[in-house]
Amino acid sequence: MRHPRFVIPLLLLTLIGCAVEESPVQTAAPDLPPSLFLTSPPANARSVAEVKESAALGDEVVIAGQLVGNRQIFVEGAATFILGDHSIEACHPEEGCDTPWDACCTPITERRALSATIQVVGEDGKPLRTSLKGRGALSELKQVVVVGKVSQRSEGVFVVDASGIFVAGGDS
Amino acid sequence: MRGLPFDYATRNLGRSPGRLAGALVGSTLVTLLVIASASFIRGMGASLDPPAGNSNVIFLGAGSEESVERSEIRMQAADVVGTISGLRTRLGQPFISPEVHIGLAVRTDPAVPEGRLTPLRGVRPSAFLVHSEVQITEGRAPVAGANELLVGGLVSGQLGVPDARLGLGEVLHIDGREWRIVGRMRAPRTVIDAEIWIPLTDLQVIAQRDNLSCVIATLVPGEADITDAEILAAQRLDLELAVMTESEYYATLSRFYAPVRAMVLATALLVALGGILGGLNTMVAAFASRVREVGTLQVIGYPRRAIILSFLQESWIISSCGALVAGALGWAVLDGVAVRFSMGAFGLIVDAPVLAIGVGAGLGLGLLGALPPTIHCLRLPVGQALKS
Repeated sequence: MRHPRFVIPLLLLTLIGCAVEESPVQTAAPDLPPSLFLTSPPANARSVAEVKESAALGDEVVIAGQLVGNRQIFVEGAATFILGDHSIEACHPEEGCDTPWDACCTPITERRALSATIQVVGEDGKPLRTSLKGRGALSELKQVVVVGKVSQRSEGVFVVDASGIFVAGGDS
Repeated sequence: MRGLPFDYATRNLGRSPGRLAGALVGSTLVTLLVIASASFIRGMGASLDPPAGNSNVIFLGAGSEESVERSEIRMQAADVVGTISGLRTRLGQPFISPEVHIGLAVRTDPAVPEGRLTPLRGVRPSAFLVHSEVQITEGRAPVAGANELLVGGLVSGQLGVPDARLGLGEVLHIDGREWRIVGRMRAPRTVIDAEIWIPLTDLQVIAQRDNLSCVIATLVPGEADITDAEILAAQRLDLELAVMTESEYYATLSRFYAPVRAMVLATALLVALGGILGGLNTMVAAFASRVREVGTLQVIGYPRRAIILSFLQESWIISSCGALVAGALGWAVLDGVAVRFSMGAFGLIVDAPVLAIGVGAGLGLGLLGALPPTIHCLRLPVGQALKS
């Protein structure tokens, strides 16, 4: 039996039609404040350990540290990251660690005591829905200085709403 | 093309009852083996899949993302999770379930020195909100402090006892104490079906722990998502939380068990292959003995294609009957049967895809069983075929 000539092209078109997926609806990521990334390091920076010890809720702080101390430094989809004290030692890749920034050789309780949560919030006081990873050269193990206000402070909890971030070695 | 009448194929079936019975039993067994193998793989896979349409997130201990049994988080975590805006609620009750997961030896007979390792889940009543797939089919939920249990549908298979042994009012022995079954539950095609649920505080007492394994919460899609949960985990560094969607958790679990599944698949394929070769042997023997008949048909004037088609019809009638019998048997006997494995038990699943695989294998056997011997018979010179 002979098939009409249009059958094969029609089948091909059907297959191609089935293969085309609808692109997901993209919601625009909110813009970060233009002045967020600083070009020079702010003065009077103190270590994470020092700031956590002395700062009170609502205090303006300048806090220096390293993006270290957790397997997941950045929250995907939110302007939040973990800042660790300089004293937290990152693992070395030659030790067989694929994620040296998790500092898995340091006990987790010690890491938590020497870490702070940094977030960039919107007008509603909630973290902006955009990841900071790769923005302003921010990445794991980078040395940074953060200027901001302590927004949560209780036993074991230390959250800073950042207004300025200086990334050492970054091109802001 | 002059074809052989369909009657020829059907009447031939009755010519040798012994041969027919052999082929029928062979094809039934092969199809049953394939159905059993496919239902095993499907059952194991389904038990590691999260329930469809699930918007649950799991808070675990950081570093224990691969195993909820190893995870430990503070009791306080449940209250902290409650601060997420966008949690599902019903009549003001948030969908938050603090849980303890642990495997313990459970004995049905106190005289038996060692019990069987069975997954136990310590829960509060809110667990029934979060795990909407769970249905209490008999009795009621257990009450804390009264040594009561709620038992899943596959636990009898896990413990190796008849299902009636786990009826309401029956007693199980855990940690040297008697626990009365006050309810039966079903959560088909999930790991919960092989679990025993026990009030959270009771399990904490047994396990001598004052913390949780995890907190499971249900989010309202559009109002909250995994990012909200991750922000909370990042803000509450003191709780040392890791968070993932239930789908991600089960995907991780599934990856962990991938080598086991591969091994099971390989074993199932070998079993099915063995069955197919055995069945093939029976079918080939049945058709190869008909050399003279093939020669006669050629002398009468039937073309080779007509003879092949008639033999295939005959073979497919037998294998179809075998496949139907096997399908009915598999569905009636195998569906839901509990199989023990390291993390509990799962039920064999005999559903449409599994039956289709079984029937397909049966029909394939019919084709492979008839075609080579028929072609072999047809290759012989007609004279030689008539003399054989």
